[in-house]
Amino acid sequence: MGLLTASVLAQAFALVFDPYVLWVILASAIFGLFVGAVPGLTATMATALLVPVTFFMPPVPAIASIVTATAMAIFAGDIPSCLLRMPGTPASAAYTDEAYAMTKKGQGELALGSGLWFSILGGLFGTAVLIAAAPSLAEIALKFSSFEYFWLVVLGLASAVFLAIGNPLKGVVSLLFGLLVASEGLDNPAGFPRFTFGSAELAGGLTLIPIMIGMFAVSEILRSVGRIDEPWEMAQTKIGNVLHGMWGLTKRYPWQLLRGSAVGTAIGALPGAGADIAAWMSYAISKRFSKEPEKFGTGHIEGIIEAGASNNSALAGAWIPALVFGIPGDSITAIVIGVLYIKGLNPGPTIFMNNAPAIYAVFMVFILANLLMLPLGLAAIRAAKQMLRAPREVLLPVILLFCIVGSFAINNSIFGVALMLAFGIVGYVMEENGFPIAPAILGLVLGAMLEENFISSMIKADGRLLAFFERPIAGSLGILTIVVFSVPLIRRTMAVPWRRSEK
Amino acid sequence: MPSRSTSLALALAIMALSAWGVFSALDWPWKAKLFPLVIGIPLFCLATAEALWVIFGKQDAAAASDFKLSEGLERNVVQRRTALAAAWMIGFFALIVLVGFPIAVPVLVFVYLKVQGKEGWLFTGVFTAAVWAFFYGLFDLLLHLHFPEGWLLSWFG
Repeated sequence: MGLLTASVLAQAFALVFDPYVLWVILASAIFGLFVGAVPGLTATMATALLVPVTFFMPPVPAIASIVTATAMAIFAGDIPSCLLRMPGTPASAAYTDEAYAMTKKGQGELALGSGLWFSILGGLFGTAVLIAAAPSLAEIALKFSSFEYFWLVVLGLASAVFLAIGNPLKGVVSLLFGLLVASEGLDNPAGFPRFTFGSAELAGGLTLIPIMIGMFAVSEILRSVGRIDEPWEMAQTKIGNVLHGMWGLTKRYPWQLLRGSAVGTAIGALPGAGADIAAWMSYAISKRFSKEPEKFGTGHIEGIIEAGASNNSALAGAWIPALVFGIPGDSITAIVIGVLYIKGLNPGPTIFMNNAPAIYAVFMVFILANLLMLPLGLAAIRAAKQMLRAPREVLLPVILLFCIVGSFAINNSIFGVALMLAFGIVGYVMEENGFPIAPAILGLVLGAMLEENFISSMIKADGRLLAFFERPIAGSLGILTIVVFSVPLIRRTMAVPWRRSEK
Repeated sequence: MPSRSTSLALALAIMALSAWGVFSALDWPWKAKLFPLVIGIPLFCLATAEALWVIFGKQDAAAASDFKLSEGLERNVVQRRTALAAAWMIGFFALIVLVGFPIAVPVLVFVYLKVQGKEGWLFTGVFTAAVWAFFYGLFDLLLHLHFPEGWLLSWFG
């Protein structure tokens, strides 16, 4: 592609090391640390809350604020895990019991320090993979036709369903619900008004950002409000030099660090699976291959190292499909794609040719955010006890205000606010009834892309379905998609007689 | 764990939505109807399967999220607090529509902190002023976001 030249790097450097951008990065880092450290506020919510502010920023600081805040939030989620036995974000849930057990054993400093240290290393690993893989993949993607894009989207949607936590049937229902909602409006291959009821607002299609703010932030408020007025019981631990012994742990567990980072990046790159699933998988892998599996659950550091590296590397991994194909790797990049479109940085392989300095600036922000995590993370750990004592009641109106202004600002319309509230309640009801919302969101984001590529391919193939398998890459992606759909079904079918015979 | 009736109501709502989507699409040109039909028909079938599963199957223990902050609390307490939070949100939205953002923001923050948060007058007053100053300074003065007047203010002009 020949896009990484000295001139591009110099331009990217100038874009990042601008005082305004550096201030934005610093402010977002502090914001992300706070959001991540407060149980009930997630990294996705941090992204949703940043949206109204990013509308008014140039592209690089807008994206930099999201990259920085989410990286910080995922790390900061480890702090209440250690002190309260409550994950700050779902990405820390996998090893919360382990971290808390360490604190109770008097090893709180070690747990907090490894959370910080291995988050940084994992984040840098994911960033390195992003920088290396995204431009090369983009070069390949330039040769893709509507057939390849169709299968890529279907494969992404399939992984989102089968990697989601819970019942696959509910996952598929959630996904189809998202796709059906996405078909609303005039923006379709026929230019025909669908489900619009004659309303001008609906004819324009349902705007994604208010829906995502609703489903991720409003539903999250409703889910976390149950414990809003209960005091948190904090484990008593001395917080001194939390980085003491980290080099020793790195030398003792290098394989765990590498494996966690690699698994995290790969899981992050799969659509629909984000940092939380990456951490669960890495923790399970760590236990499976550990020489001391019996120590897991008793306050053992190994799983924290692997899963802690994994959840931060997943963040960067999720950007690979988001930038190269416009397919979000996780819920954060689902929102990011909306922001990228608003900023004129339309995701897809051509982004590396049309906006190379901005994209390399984003890569630099990833590195900077992970390096900045060291001093700011240390400060956050020291201030953790004060931060966790902040009255939670005051947060609700402030969060709600940001959600509402963000939904309003996208089109300067109250309709966006109504959309946000409606989808917030829908998201809450779905999640409470076991329907994962990530597939629905992915369906909403990818619905138009899926339809466009499906209809174009059907026209090109003159209605011949076999044509979807005739090109080598399209055929391979098609077969892979069928495998992804079939394996869980076969496993379920095989599992039923096995379970019966067990009884 | 959700109640069986709520799960059934949700499955029935999805069935109704997909059925309506499919019937509406039948009269459209083929390019417009193909996608909603390809999505709507399987959605209807799977939602029906889900409804039948809720009625005849064992209660599904699978959760959509791996961690719940409200776990361990009584179900009715969580429901009451959630309903209250939803009511505050809808109330805030109604207030914005009626009186506009610049008035609704301080009113909501003040009333919420006083009534729901049971905070003291001084904290409530100072925090409300701070939030309003932040809102006005950031979105109005700095970002020049134009907020519409509320319906009441437009009517009484």
